[in-house]
Amino acid sequence: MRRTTTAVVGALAVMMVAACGSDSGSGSGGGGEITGTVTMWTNPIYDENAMREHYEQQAAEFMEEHPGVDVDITVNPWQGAQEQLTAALAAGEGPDVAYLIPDRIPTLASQDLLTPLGAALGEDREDFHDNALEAVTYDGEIYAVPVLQSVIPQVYDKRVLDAAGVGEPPTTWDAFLEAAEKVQAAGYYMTEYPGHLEMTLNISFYPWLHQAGGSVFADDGESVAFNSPEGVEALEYLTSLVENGYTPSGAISEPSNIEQSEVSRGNVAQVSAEPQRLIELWGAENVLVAPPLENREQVAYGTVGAYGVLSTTDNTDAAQAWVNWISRPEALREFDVESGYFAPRRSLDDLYADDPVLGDVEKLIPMTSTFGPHPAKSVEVMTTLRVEVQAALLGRKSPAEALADAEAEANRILAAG
Amino acid sequence: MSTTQRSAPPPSNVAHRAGVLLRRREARIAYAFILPYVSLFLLFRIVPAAGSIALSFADYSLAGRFSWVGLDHYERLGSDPLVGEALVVTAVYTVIAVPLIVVSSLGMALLIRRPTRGVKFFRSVFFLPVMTSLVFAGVIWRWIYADNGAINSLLDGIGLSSVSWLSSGTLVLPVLASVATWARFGFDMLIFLAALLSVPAELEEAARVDGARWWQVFRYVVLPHLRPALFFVLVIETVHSFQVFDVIYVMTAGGPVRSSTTLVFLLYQRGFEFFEFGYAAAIGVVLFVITIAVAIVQGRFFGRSRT
Repeated sequence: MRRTTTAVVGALAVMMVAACGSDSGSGSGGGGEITGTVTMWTNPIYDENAMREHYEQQAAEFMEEHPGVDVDITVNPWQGAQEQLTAALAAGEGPDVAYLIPDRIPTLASQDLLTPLGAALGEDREDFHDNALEAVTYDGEIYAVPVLQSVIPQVYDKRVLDAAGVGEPPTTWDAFLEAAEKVQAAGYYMTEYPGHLEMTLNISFYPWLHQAGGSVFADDGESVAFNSPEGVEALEYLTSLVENGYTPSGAISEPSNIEQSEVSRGNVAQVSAEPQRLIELWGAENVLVAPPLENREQVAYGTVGAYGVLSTTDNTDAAQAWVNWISRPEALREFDVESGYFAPRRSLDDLYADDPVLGDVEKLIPMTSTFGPHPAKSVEVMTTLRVEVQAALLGRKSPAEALADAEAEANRILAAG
Repeated sequence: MSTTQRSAPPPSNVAHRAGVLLRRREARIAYAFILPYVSLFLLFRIVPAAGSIALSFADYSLAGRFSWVGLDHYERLGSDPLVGEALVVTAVYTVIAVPLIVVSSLGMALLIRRPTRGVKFFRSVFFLPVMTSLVFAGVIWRWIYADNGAINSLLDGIGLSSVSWLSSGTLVLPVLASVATWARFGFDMLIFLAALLSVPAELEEAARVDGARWWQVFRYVVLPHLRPALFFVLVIETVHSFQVFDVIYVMTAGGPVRSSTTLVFLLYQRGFEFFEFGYAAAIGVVLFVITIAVAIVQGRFFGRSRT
């Protein structure tokens, strides 16, 4: 127990005496010229060395423009990145600028840890996709500047569809079930539903919920809305996929990456994933990209990567200027192509016009959503709902029971604030 | 002219004072030696632990907002069904893991206690898992126990049906306990081995001459000598089982459903996913109290005497 106390709670104790705020320098110099050191924490969005080179080049140009500013870039591994930022912020040692995803923005913004950036964006905001800005907005304010968008479309293994005699990828829930029967008869799985507890519901359950016409939260974000006829329909549909053996049962509870899954073995017809990974696994010639499935709605998840300015910084002006710099169209053109993601700017909507696969995916950006609104407790709500969805898929509860239980707990979480 | 003749102190007093001075000097040296450890222990263990206890009576946000909330977190603990569930999971895991680890390590120690050919090799090999990162090992074990993993492939190969090791709420804790056993038995085996080597060979020999069977020799001669080691291992493994986190984090993420969500995993979620540091600290304090209580009970049963 003592080791637990030291390792886990020890960090907590440090927080009690830690002062907040970076001490990396001043803010702005005389005459409006920005000064100080801007520390940026990011993660390896693509090849770490190439990404570091990109940002170092951007930093050199930025510092030439603003001689009083020094930019320090740290690329932290994805593993434990959230805990690292949490611990650093708690100890008052956080960066000035951090890479953020939509799920984390409400949590940080609700604790006044992010600086509003809407005013700093100015008229430039018109160039950003609406769904990209929605993803970084909390309580009506923009808290991060998007630098990339992803699309999680339906991706089909052409070899499996051919073997099953399915001519075209299905685009509706009904057609999906019809295709599933044929695929199963040919000895394959129709899909691999990732129901394990490490998987974000943004990719697993939420797309089905929204396609059924439901939503996670009520419009005001004060309560949850997933326990609805649409929500039950979505979960019943998924449960039927499991019961009929259209998806491998192991994927419901075993955390795994795609390389160890049935997908990588060529045993699955459809997967909801970024096609770039599947091109590597299956070969571009076997990858078929299809629009999101349609029931009442036709929608897919697409995340947004963005940079936010921590409110603990002493160099707000310099940090905002740096974030604006790295999100300029000319900077994003290189960054997004190198990373294989899509640009959040309308002026860069044709990045992949010459790519047969990614060009098709790029056109799906308007169909993507991050399934907001995202209240401050959206991560907790997702954790609660994820467990109950898994319980339904494993047959421990009926879909209606699971959603009702999740609703009760989630509303308690939201009410507690 | 007068002279004063001082009487010399009795020899016994001189020796006594010299002894006292020597002991004081030795004590000062001893204190000097332990001072660095004590300082670090206070700084990195006691102070954080005390801070944690204090934090359990407060709310603390990442932005630095701090407020005392009295017993609020403890009241919430009492009515939080997830805490009760996690407590049961932790207890069940401990009940499975501790006997498994103790029996395995004791059995292995008994097997390799005799200085036979190649025994040093086996002692080293058995200790290897102790030096392996459990996070890394957990990834491998996850593949082994996966639906399409090595064990099910083996079962398929011999005509048996596959088992959903990690999807079953019933099997997941024994599976995790088996991984913990693999990781821990080498360390405990060494402790038992040291204790076994201290058992006088003539006692065992005499018992055998008197007609005692293997089990009787073990039960009435060997086991009483192992009592201190057994107590130590039981306490260490119980504490370790109450702390289990890494293997769960890697292999099951607390699932399926909440079948492997232990108290420490819940503490991690509350503290590092939801930033409820005060509540997480309260869970930690409760876990600490429970662990101490269990260790005291174990002491009553196993630690009273050597025989």
